[in-house]
Amino acid sequence: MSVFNELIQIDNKGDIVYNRWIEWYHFLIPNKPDWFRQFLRRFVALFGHCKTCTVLDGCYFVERIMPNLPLHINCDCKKLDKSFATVKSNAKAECDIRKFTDYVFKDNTSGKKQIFLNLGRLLFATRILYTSIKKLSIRKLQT
Amino acid sequence: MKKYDLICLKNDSPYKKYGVERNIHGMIIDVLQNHVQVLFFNPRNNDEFTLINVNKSDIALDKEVVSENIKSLLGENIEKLKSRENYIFTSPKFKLFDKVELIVEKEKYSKFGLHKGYIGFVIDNIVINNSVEVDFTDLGKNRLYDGETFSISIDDLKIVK
Repeated sequence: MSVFNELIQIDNKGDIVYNRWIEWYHFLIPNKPDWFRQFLRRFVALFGHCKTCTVLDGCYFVERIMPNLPLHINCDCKKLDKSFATVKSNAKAECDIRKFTDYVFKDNTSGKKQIFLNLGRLLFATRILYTSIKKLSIRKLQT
Repeated sequence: MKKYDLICLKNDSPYKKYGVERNIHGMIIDVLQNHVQVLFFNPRNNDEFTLINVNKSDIALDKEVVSENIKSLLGENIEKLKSRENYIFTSPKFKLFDKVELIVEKEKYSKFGLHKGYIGFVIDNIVINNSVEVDFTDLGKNRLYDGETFSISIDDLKIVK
């Protein structure tokens, strides 16, 4: 498999499509540390900045399937071109592991435990499942 | 310590009555003799913030620094924040993974197939616009995975034992 397999694809209609990556940019919002990012998001929201735009800041999208830009009237957000290598090395997806340990694999949660047991997943594999889901969510960004 | 410095609360004992806890971050918006007035956001409710007078010995400076744009944004609008002086954060109504029931029949829910009496689990209990995220997914009659997660107003839910 070559690097072009992730940059160029065939869509459902059989057309060749190009995965050009961008980063959503709203000024004033840092990407890290997370507490600082969330603090400034809430701070600028007090003075009228769009919460949707500030949460998108720092996120990577394939340009042809990204959210509309501008997102609303007076939206000053920009898109910054990013190489796929940058996206691949920097992109992160997070999932609270308690959703598995304290919810999915608990009894009396409407059959969710049974779904995963039927798939052959047990609690000790939770961390493996957790890592897989994080990786899959990044891969899903491309489709 | 000076205005616009970012701080971390180290001793929360005198301030628990406001709902703030140790290690919460804030921004100094005014400097008094032995105290500073600090802006804190409620980590459990996106709609709430407070301004509290804090003893300088109860906080530690954080290494992060706000930009000049942020400082001017605050400087122009500081009076807007004053109405929340000594505001007490509300306690969360739901804990993570609480089993809840939808207690209303509203078009904004029913158009997505959610009706009064439906049972779900709180999957994210941080309140945003007075709502929390509830998981209504279930194994349906045909043992097929069905349903969706939705943002539901906290006033439209009750805890189920």
